[in-house]
Amino acid sequence: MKDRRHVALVFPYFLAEVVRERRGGSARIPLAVHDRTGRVISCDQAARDRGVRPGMRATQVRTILSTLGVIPAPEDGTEALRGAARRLLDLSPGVWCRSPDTLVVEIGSILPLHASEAALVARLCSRLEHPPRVLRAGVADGGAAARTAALLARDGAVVTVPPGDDRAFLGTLPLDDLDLMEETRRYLQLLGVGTLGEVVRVPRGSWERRLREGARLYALAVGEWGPGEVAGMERILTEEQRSREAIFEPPVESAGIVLFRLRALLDRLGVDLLQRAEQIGALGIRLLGEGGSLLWEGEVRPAAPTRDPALLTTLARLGLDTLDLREPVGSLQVELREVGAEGLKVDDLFWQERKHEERWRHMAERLSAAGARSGGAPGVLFRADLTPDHLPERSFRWIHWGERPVGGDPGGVDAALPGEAAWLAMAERGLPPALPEDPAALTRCRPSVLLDPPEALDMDSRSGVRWRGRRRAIRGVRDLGQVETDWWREDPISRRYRALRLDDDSELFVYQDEHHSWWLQGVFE
Amino acid sequence: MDPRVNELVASLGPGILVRVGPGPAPTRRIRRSGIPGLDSLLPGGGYPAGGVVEIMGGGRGHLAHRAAAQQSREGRVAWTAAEGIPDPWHFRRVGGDLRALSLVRMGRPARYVWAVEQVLRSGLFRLVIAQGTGPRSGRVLFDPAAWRRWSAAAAGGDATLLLLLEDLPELATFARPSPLRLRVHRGSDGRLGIRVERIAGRAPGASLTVEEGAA
Repeated sequence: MKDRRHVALVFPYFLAEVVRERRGGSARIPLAVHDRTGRVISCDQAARDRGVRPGMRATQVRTILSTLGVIPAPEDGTEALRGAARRLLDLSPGVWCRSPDTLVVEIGSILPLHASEAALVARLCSRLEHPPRVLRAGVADGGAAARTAALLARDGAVVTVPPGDDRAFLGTLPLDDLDLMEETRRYLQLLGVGTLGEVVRVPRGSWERRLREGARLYALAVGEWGPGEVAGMERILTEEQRSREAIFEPPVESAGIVLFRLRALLDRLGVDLLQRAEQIGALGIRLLGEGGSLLWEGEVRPAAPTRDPALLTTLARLGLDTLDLREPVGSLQVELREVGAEGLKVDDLFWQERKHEERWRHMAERLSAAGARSGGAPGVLFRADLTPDHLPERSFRWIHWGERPVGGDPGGVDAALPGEAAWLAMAERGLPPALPEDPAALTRCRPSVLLDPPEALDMDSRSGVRWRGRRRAIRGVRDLGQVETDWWREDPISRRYRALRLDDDSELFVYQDEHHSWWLQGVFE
Repeated sequence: MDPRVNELVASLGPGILVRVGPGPAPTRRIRRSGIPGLDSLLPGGGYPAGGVVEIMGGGRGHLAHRAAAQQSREGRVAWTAAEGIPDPWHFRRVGGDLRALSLVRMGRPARYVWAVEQVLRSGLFRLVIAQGTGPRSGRVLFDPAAWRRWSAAAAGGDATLLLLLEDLPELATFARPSPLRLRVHRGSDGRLGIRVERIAGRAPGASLTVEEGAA
């Protein structure tokens, strides 16, 4: 998404420092912390300087340095990281915690409130109550890419990946700078793979089969979280962000009462949100029966993030409008989702006070801009201009709104419709069908949906037509006539049009050209 | 009325007693479908204004053309397409005014959902037609969240949304409480049968059928 930006704060020695602070002891003794499986998950700088890396086995580490303290991770080891994350919730609605050393903060939605990304990152760091001795920060579109960027940061500098450049940034990264297992490094060295960009050239499955951390390696290269990392990402939420619940005593059968309580809940949530300068991107609503059974579940999503509880109530009412309560409702749950995900700037596309023409132009510009961002043609909004041509694809043209139609007002096109007239044409071979008198049949000759341009059709007289990825038998054929045109040019066109009914009841508008190739030009929907 | 009540009213004056009951039925705003036989079967005589109408089955494109043609004579119509385009000659043939028809083309599904919502919210169109399933790919082009956004946008923009759907198994996985759902089938003689499969507020299972020629 255009405004999607994340900051990753990595505390490389966080857990080890927490453990040392609790246990005491000299900072000169290297320290490593391992999990229940015996793998190192954090170490301090002294241990790292001696070659200890996360992922090593504790027994392996002890053989490296006898003076190394290898300590099991405390049960509440992650809580300290969560505590740091909660302090950041005052600044951003999206904070994730990845034990043992990473916080990921969504900043796209709050960037307009700050002078720059750098200023925002500095403010985030200043919010940490006991900032770790070593803190690395990275900024990128995706959280995983931001973390990788953070791992490369040194001496307090923030590594910033420009918007839209995550893949390009990752592709050039040398593998030596990354936190990989020793066996992974050796294998990659053996293959001559030196950068993440080279990793991506090999399919994900191949890495997974060959390396224990193959899936993680590939995910790192494409800017995603690895499988285990996704499971380890914990979204930090406040109570207000989780859910609010209204209990009905006794359970109610009236949708009106449900809506009344919903409004009250939203009013309370709205006040909280106003105080925290956050906005709601989506709202989940759940109605539960007396025994906790799910009666109804839905989501309302305003077109733009909002702090207006009344708007959300209106949207919820629409969703609940056709609610048919078969059982009494015991409780109403409301859950806020994606708070502030889309950005704080509320762009009301259709300000009702605008004049009609302004609204039209505004809509056209927004649609055109969206079409351009999608990689399509810049003109998205069209009107039809009919043209006298025998070929269906040339019998009209779509023109960008605002252009003047060729030949004047399309409403004044002559009643002799050249499209259908082509099917009346006497071909040189004398093959055209008689024009049906029944107007219904005339309309059936043109499909409701045309494909522009026509597509090549895989047709086999015995096995049928390849349609939507499968072979379909032909159940019926309607002959729609012959079109002969452009005979005065070097490449005359000759087509036989037919309607094919398939065994899945689809009816296709097809033609066979002068080279006996088959083409799909429309669908009778 | 009870004589004692009459005596009470006489002593205290008129207006002291007011009978409370259901008020007059609210006027239902509708948009005509372009098929008179179908309109006669629908509440209020047409498609609900500001609501969602689902049309499923073969022949749904023709119904959409008929509705678009009818509404183009009364206001503006938008046809949103992710795959293919509506044939303007077909539209003209069923009596549509091309000057009132706008086409919005947006290929990517996420952008398409957004574009439909913007068109609905604009308040510029009486009728908006959307492809719920791709005519070429046979894929579902929206999800439950998108359906609810469209529903809200249609109400906000006072536009009727015609949602054209092929009967796919994936559609059964999420609820779409549209106020009106029609199912169309094309007979061997080319004529269309239209069944009203759902009308909000009526008992489930009620169905009505009208035979409609293809033109």
